[in-house]
Amino acid sequence: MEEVEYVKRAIAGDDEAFLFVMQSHKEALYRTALAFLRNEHDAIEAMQEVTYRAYKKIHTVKEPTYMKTWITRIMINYCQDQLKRNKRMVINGQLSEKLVMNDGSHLELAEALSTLTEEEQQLIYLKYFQDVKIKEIALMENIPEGTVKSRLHKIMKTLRQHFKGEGEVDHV
Amino acid sequence: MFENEEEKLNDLRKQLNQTTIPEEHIDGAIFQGVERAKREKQYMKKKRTRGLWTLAVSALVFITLVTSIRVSPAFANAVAAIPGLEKFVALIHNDKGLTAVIENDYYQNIGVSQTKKDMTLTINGVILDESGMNIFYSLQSPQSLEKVTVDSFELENKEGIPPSSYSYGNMHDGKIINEYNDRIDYHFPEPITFIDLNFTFNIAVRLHGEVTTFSLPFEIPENVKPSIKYTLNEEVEIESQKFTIQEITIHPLRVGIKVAFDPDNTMKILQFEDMRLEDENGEVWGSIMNGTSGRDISDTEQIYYLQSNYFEKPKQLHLRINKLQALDKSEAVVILDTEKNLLLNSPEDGRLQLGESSKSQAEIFLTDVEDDSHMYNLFTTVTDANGIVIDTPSTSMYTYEGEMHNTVDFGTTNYKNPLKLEIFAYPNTIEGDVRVELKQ
Repeated sequence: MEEVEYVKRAIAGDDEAFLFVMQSHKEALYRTALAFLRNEHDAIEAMQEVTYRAYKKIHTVKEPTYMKTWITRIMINYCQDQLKRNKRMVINGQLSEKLVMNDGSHLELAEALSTLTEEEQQLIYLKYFQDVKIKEIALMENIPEGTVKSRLHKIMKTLRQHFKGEGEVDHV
Repeated sequence: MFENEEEKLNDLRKQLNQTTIPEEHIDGAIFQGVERAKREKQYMKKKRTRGLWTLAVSALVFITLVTSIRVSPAFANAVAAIPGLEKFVALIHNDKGLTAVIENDYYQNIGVSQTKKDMTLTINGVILDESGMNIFYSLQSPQSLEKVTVDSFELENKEGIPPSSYSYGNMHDGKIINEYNDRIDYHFPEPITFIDLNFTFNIAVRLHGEVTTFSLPFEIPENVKPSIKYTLNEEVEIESQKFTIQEITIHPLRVGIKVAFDPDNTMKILQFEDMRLEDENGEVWGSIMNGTSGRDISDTEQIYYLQSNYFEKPKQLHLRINKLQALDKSEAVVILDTEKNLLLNSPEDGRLQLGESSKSQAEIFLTDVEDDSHMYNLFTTVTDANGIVIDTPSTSMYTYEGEMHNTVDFGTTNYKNPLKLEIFAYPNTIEGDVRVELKQ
């Protein structure tokens, strides 16, 4: 059976189809959680909470083909809530230590990302870490594609400024 | 234009994707997430003071996508012979006693219905014995019943129904959305035999904010089969903690074991981990899963329920107990202050710790727990500094890497700290070998 069939059944309330859908996205979701929360323990807890939330709200999903985006959003929202609640520095944690060991520049990027607003972080995450097409993001947010593109553009400028340091002018 | 930045993002992404993932733990977390959501739909409010407590047994099991349930031919035949019963197989098959009830023709077909607007309630059948009544019912409607919930229900009889009930909760079959099947277990505090077998079942269901009430009178065709009672009054001991097995009553639906604890015991006995009945062939009847596992009678007396072997008529039966959960009486109560976030009293082994807390919620951690151990609620009664009992409408828990997380929600913030939480279960065990023969 095609994956979208499982999604449709899950939306209709089929528990086994729901589990199948969760299984097919679990790795991506887990890595999302890990990216935001920076440690395994919190990421596992996130998996439980997000499964719970998804199960309760799945009947609201209108477009089965966007299941991955929908569920990734739940994860990102949860993670951002957690970060706010725990007032954690995105920098701390096992994962960033690993990053530091391998290549210092990644730490800089992670730090840069943490300075973005929640909406901006979500957008970067969906586009670059989950490979969601601009078109899909536009449909999910109910905004024109052009708006998505210009938001991304603005974020890139912010990141560039962060790397270059303040005071430099960007001519590109 | 932003190739540099994009390259950095892609590199970070590759980095993140390289970490290995703890697959088993993730599967476990997913399972628990679904179970928690389903449990919230199912359970009615439970009173955790003197009265019923439930044993929610769940292991970290990976659910396969295979739907078939293995049942015995006798059971399959019995189910086939009773119209409408196949809908309830999932609610029956994991209880040996119930399965035997069906196989031995003790399930009584009722088949009365009532229709209100576009909803029809049918009482498919009941199982009645001296210890309780199981009512199997269905709701049908041309509209989707996926989101239907049960607001309240009540059973009536001229002779009076003593207060005790607990709803099993449905196995939501995602394929069939126009039908809702459930089983409600009435569990009488004392064995009863009704003379008048006319009952009325009232139930209020809620769908999309609208409540529909049904009231269905029905008559049960046959009266109960007599229960078998063994009066034993045998005192036994495990690691110097004494308790008396007073009586064991075998009903078709369940076995009730009445136990009295010696008030001079230094420890409070919490849970019997492996209380069971064994016959001459070594066949075992263990505790009720996903149901009422016991009841407080008083501070020192309790009744425990096991699955029933009423229809087996074994030649020899022994009650066996090897492992008990117990704590020194001084440690068996947790005292904490939710506002100051202080743990004032807890078991001496230090495994129980307080996480975040507020007046509405407290997070409790239990360390050094086996991941696949049974999940019990940690606490029963919660009282505040004025001795007033606080309702705990929901508790969520999960176990990860040897640590159990238990989040307790309080029904009100209008209470005075510190709070006393009576411990219901704790992984501290004492062991022995108790073997009591059931003889009349």
